[in-house]
Amino acid sequence: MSVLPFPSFLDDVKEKGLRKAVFEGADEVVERLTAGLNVQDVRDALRGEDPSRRPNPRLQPHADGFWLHMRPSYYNRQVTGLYPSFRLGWLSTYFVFFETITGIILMFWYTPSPEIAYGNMLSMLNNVPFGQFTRDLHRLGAEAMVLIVFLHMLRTFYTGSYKKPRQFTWFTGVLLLIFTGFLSFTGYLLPWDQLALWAVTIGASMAEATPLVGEQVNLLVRGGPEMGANGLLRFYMAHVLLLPVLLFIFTGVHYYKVVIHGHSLPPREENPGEDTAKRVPLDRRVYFIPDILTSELMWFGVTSFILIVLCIWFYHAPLESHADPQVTPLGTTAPWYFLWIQGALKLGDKTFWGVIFPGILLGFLMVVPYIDLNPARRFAQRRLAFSISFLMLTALVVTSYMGLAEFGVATAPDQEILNEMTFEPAHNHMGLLRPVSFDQLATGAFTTREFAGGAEHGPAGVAAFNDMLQQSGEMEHLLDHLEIQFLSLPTLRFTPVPANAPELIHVLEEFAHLLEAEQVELLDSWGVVIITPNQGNLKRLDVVINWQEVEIVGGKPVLDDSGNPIPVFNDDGTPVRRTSSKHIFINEQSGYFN
Amino acid sequence: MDLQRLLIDRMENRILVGLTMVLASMVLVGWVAINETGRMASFQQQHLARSIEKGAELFSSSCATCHGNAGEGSARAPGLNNPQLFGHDYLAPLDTQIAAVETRIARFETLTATMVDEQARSQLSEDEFAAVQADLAAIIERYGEDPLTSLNGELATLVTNRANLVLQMQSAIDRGYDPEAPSRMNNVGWGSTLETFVLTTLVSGRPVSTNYWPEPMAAWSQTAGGPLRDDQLQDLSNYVLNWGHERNWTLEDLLRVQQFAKEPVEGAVQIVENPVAADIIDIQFADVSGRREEIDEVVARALGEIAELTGDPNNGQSLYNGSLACSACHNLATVAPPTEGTFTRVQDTRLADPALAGYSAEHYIVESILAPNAFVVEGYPANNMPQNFGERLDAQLLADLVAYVSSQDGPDPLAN
Repeated sequence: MSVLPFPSFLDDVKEKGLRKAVFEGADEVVERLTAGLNVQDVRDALRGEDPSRRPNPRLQPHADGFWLHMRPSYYNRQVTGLYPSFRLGWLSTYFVFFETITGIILMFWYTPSPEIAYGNMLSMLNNVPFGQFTRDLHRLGAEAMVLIVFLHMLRTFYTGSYKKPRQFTWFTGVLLLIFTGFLSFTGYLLPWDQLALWAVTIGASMAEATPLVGEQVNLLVRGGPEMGANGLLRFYMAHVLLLPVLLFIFTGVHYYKVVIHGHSLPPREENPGEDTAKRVPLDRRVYFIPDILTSELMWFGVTSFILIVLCIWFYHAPLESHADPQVTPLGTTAPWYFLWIQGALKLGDKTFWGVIFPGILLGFLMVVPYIDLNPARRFAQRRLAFSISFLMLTALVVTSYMGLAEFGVATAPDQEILNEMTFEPAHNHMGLLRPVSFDQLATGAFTTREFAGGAEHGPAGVAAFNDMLQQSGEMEHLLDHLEIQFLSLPTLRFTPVPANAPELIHVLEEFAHLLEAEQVELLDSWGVVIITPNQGNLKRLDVVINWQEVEIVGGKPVLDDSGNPIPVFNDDGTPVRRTSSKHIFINEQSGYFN
Repeated sequence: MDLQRLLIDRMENRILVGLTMVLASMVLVGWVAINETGRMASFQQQHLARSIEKGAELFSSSCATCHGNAGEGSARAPGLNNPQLFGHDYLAPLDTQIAAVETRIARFETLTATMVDEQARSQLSEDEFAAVQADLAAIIERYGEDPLTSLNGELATLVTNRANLVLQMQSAIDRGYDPEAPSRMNNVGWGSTLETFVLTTLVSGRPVSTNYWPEPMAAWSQTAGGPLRDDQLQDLSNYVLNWGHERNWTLEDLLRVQQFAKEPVEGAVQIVENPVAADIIDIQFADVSGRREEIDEVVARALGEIAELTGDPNNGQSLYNGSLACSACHNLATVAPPTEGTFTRVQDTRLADPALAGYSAEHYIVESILAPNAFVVEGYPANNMPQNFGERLDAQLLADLVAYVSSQDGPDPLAN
């Protein structure tokens, strides 16, 4: 006899024989694990056969088990297809967990301090196996989640699923949308690179516009007048603690409401004012075990696979250079999902368009189910609601477009062109000069006059350019200008771009086109690229633009009656010429050209 | 269209699809794992390259003024594009050869001595004797019947070559290069890597270098009160180290260096022949009251001496910014009052102080140079200014310095 108070496995073997004891033991283990399904039940379920005994064992795990107690035991066949849910709610939930898991892994490698955060990002990329991969997944998941949650809201609106009795479910859904946006936004800052700092600076500057308590809110959010150590820590705490806690709580509330009200049926299945989701006729029941469960597992596999493929071949989370509060990159924007606020800000008052307008909009969204008392869920009977929603969507698209740097932000054309030639990799683009292979960056001085502008092109254009510089005294101005940029050259002689550097030729042609496109404001312009060796594997590239100044009023050149710009002249009658330049260094190993 | 049919209806197929996807995902993750080492290495290399680019930008705007555009150095700071910094020893290959020949000569001498000495030979076993014979035979085979002459000839050639090589470096030697001590790191006794040497120099600067450079190397890190972030210092350091990247240093590289490092030498302070006030140096603030009379007496004497001389403010300026390095501290109002407007400040503010009743401006300036602790301006630390100018200046130099300080009579930036 065993010393145990219950029969041991050995006792079972003695009593029933080994074979039977093992099978029964296994059966019991499976039944405990599944909270009610034995081996035979699982086999039946996976074969698609009907439940074996009464009462239906497939309902038991929902009543007894912890993991499934929140899931409905069966669904209405009408809601299990792609329509009406498009799996968007499920996908949102998937991303909640996906982001939590990848985020926790990233937390092991990250310290929220301006001194070290960027270094952490670098070591994640060059010293942590799967570091880049995990970061890519987390970042892609974050952006996808914002989109998915938003689409989920649209779907819910158009199928009228927010109507009685699901008003509160909708309300928590809007809260979840807001939390998702803020989660994504707070995470934006953490890499502490230029992209992060400036996108967040723009976003957070909205806080300053809060009426009455703007200054306090700003201090509270950033922990100081500028974004610094305190601000980074606050964003981090919000990102990993405050917002996830809120998100989890309200995800719970939201899903609880979904389950107790039942998934709303497609509008065409119900009469106006009717809600039959909870009453599922026997012939329309689809049991969670095994149908929905296997379907969800399949979707889990498919979605994860897609994300993994995207992160291996198509998407890499951006990392620009170290955050620098002194240097504002040209064309800074808020993250794309906040572009609509940035666009609205361009309409006028910061407080109204930056805080009150989004506040009203989100507030309106929350109370939609309490205002829209029309019981009908069918499209044809909701013309007003649909019209309003299309108006709002249009406004969203238009304001988002207005939020882009291209819209309404006047930058001097010379600066635009210099930036276009040299800017550091950002948003998967970079300045034209950077991707030129190192061996094609021939040492020398080259001019756009070889390709366009002036009377002659080709080598003759270069010769004419040299003569023009010498005779007009522009050469000295150019050398002086370079001297101020810490490039001391005794003299300069422009040559045609060597034929064995086709990439450089192409860039100079582009440069010439850019100048030509701005020839109204940059009158009689020329551009040069001067390439000087610096270290064995390092070259310095200077881009200089020189043009004749024209009269400019309100950021636009003044045109005379025949549509030509009006040049500006010095007191002595000579034209005023302007020079601006930018330089970069290129290392052989920088790999811009890969 | 019935969207329902877009979904997989049969459960077996759902399981199959899900399983395939999970397996495919695992294969892909495995594929990532295989490539991970290479990816990390290439990122490391790429990031280093881009960091060098940023360092180049910082160097050209912040460092090139003193260290030279191409890192060749100037009278204000040593060259960094410099074999000395990277410890390249031009003489090393010749020295190795010379040592080898010397060893061979010594060996030949020992062997022949053994063969000649009966007693020594008798102590050898048969095998040992055979070995000695074989060694000798090998040397003779290589260097002929008279190995000592040809070995000595070879040694003489090598020594001449070495001397010639040193001769070729002469212009560098004139600028302070020592071919016998070619490594900067060894010379200063730095025990760690070149990278840490460069980085620590950038972080905290070289405040002590005022003793042998016109201006000290500033502290560049924000931690030490400078303008640059740590990552920028890393960029700069990467840029400087890139001068040594896969570099075969040539003699031209050495000769191109305009300025070599100066080693801190004991007693670097120049003591003049007729010091104006050698008797009141090193008076601590606490001792001032006890030696007040002595100070007054020496200062009065110095004042008398310079009254008969004409001070040259230009020479005073070069002392001030150069060998005495006054400007190193008297620049911003942090550790010492600024140079700008000194004379005005003395006249308008200092002399109004009751403690300085009866002083003339010149008296106050001379006293402050020779005995800095005699009157310490409120808000600045005592015992901070060097107290050895009494032995570093003679009457003429003091007169020059006073003339320069007195020329600083523009508006006082500290006066509100």
